[in-house]
Amino acid sequence: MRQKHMHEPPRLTERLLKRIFPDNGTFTTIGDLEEVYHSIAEEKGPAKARLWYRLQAFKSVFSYYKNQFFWSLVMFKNYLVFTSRLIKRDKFHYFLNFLGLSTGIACCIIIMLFLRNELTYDQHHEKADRIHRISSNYVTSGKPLLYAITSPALGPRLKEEYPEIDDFVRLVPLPEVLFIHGDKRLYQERIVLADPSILKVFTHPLLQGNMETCLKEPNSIVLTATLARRYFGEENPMGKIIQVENQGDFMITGVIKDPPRNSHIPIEGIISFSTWDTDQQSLNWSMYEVFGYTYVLLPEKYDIAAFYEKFPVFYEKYFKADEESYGQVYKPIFLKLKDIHYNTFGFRAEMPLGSRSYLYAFFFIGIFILILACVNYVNMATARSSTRVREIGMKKVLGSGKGDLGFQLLGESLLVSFIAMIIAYGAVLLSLTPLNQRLGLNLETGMLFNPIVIAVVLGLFLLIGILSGIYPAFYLSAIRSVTAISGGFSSGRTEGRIRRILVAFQFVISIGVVIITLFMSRQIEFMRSRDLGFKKESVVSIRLRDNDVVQKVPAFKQELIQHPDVISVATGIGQPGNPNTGLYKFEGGDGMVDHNFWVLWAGFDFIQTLGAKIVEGRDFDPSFSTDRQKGIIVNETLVRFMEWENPIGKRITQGTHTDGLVIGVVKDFHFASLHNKIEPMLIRMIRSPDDNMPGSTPDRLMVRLKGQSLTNTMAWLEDRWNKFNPNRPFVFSFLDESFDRLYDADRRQNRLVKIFSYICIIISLLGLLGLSSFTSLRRTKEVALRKVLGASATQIVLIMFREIFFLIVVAIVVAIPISLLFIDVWLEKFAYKTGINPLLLAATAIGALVVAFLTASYHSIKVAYTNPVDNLRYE
Amino acid sequence: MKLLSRPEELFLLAIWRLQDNAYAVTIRDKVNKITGKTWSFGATFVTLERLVQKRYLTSYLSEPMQKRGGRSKRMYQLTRVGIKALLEIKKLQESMWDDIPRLSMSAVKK
Repeated sequence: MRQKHMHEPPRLTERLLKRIFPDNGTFTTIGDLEEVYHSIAEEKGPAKARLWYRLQAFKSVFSYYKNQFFWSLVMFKNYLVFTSRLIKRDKFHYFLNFLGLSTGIACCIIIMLFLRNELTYDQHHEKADRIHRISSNYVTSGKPLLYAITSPALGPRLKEEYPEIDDFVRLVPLPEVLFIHGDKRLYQERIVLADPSILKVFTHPLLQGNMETCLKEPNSIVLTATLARRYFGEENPMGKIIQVENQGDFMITGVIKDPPRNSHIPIEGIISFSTWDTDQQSLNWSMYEVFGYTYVLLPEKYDIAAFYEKFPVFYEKYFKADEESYGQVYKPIFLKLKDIHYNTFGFRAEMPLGSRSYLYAFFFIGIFILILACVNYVNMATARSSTRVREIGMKKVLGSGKGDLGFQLLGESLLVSFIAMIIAYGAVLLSLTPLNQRLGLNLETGMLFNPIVIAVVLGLFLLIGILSGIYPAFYLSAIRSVTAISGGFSSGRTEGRIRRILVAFQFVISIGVVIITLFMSRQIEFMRSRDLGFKKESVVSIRLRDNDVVQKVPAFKQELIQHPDVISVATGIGQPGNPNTGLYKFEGGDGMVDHNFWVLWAGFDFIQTLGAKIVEGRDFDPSFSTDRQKGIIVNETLVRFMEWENPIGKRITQGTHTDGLVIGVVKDFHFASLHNKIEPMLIRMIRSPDDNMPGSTPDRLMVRLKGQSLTNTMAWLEDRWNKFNPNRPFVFSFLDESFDRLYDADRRQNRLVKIFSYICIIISLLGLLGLSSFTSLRRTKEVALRKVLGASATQIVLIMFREIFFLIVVAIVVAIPISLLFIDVWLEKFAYKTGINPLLLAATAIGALVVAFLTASYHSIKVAYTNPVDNLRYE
Repeated sequence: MKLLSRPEELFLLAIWRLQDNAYAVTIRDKVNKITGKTWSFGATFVTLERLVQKRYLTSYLSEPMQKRGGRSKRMYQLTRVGIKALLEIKKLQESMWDDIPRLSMSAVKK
């Protein structure tokens, strides 16, 4: 055995040689080499022979691969030349191809940027996995009442009792504050109050300042680099003073890097927590009084179940005493930092969140567009096949194998998609900023140059190139050369059917999306125009930002009412559209019952200013001195909910507010968006400014104007305002506009789907254009014969359209139920919705047919008006 | 008609000499013996291939053989064109060698 083995040439080398000298599969050369190998082995021994054999292989390898490479380059150049000639010869089709593909790719790039942005939310914090937010569940009458915020005492107490918790951060986003430095006076959002540990727990790299000390002292502020530059330019901001109105002077003790925009806590400035909590009086707060968010840094692999197990002891110590008076049981909820942005708990006082459904919608839209664009390419490539069969037949005759041809065709689609990708990339670069504005996105242009993004875009190009090239490659390369050359090739019935199915598929998607867009717009219009139960038009809502302004309100109000165009004026906290809730005790059948209902805080004339109606009892009245203390107006839904037969005089109490009485019932009106049904709601009076209770400071002044000459009245209002409050900007909004803003998210979705529908329409019309140009080309002879036999041009166009007509009809029939299903799901979140309008469906269907007819007729008219002689002559 | 190169001539002659036993190994051996140099397999194959392309040679496959790992030999045979080319070059050489002055080393001046 061993002897025999020694006499055989090395097998691995032989394999290599086999690759190099296949000799059409007979391997005679290998045989020659083996023969010589044996003779050398006999003469000089097997070792020498093996050496010789290997040397032979070694000598051949280099030149072989050099040759291969050289010739493949030559062929590649050849392919390039070939493809560029094809493009030149067939400009129309390739233009359609580029347009379709680059639109598709551009959409995909944008969608990818969006997904990346969303999926990396809050991921830039190094300890993101260990950071948890503690939220609160105040169980009320057995029902959960979820708050994203907690008591400011919770964090420090937890750290005290649970040494394993590494650190905690309390964070309170401040409402807009006015920053004053020199002559710059700007309202700043995104300023937070936070413990010094924020810099250690979260990742906010300090460019200047000391991490340990910069947020320790009261009245310290840390700014982002951008904000620092806004106020101090190129000067060193450290140690400078910035004045925050009504808060005092703040010293800049640090500058942090601008955090990425995809964080659920947008931060532009951090004010030290000790500014508010000077003597740590927050520790005396009841655990039931919520103020700000609490984040904790847990050790790695911390078992939260163990925490819950130990929690009863903690509860006993800090919560039990207040449980009775608040009537609530507290349960903590741990939420991982990266889960916050997409949580669906529905916390009260939550930061603005993302929506997963929006994410999914985006993702599927991307895939759809990709498929549509690929379908187009496939369609046109196979449609053009009849013009290319001869070329392919000739290539086959000249020795191209099926594989070579397939690769060439694949290469062609790769080249086309490569060019399309370059175009798309440029288009995205240019359109990102306007898109951000229209869709309310936060995509940074810089992300386009991120290596991962570039890699994914390249991957996308390969995917599209292969996806759209593979079918034509198989299909065309499989054509038999004899039939191809002899010109007898006709694409079979099945092939035509596939193409028609693809076009119909495109139309299903386009028509479906158009229907969805139309219904979405209709619903949004419906919500805007629906009678809300009060008159939202011509009500100006002026922001009252601080006590100084509030002090002057009574005098200001007196002055305003003098004006003939001012109907009434009222103060409020919040405004219809963004109400608050509160926990109250209501007089029920057997004693007082706790309920958490919506609450509007209002001054006198509130009902009148809104234009709502009192249906029972009376409005707040200054002549009743007790109204500020006791008076409560409830809505009809609350009366129904409480099953009060005679609501007037029923008792409603809360905490120290022990003597509330219902004085009136207001007709139900929509104080919140139409996503929700009207819920029980009560209106309380704002306390007089001098008693320092919560709810004593109005933050809105609502002024109802007469409809006419609004601009003049507004100018007059502003003038009055400036006289009363010379140092405060006049910031106002119209109530109807702020109500419309409640549907911003819906409108954004609608806009998104609208854009999507435009793209779908473009791509599928391109597909139809390609298809019709192809069919009219193939039917030239038929058309010519028909003309000779006396058909008119109109008849011919109609005959040509018949085929497409059926396609569209089928597409419509399929698209309608699918899109209605989608619409149904979308409408689910609205309590008040429009019905399905068959007229709209019919209009869409007719529109689709008309557009399809116009598109298709471009080619068929061309064919119909050609001289039949031209098309019959060459026989 | 193009003239044969010297290696081509050598190979064609070797194949003619070998008659029915002309394949890469024997041909190379023969040429090695005549020229006294070692021709590499590469050179052998390239020359043979070129001669086939020029239609001076045809080839066929023999029966597979145990000694060659179960592979056939590619046997080479002169074609009419090949024989004609050989005769032509022979005639050319002979006419060149005819009636020239005596050729010897001493005839070359320093």
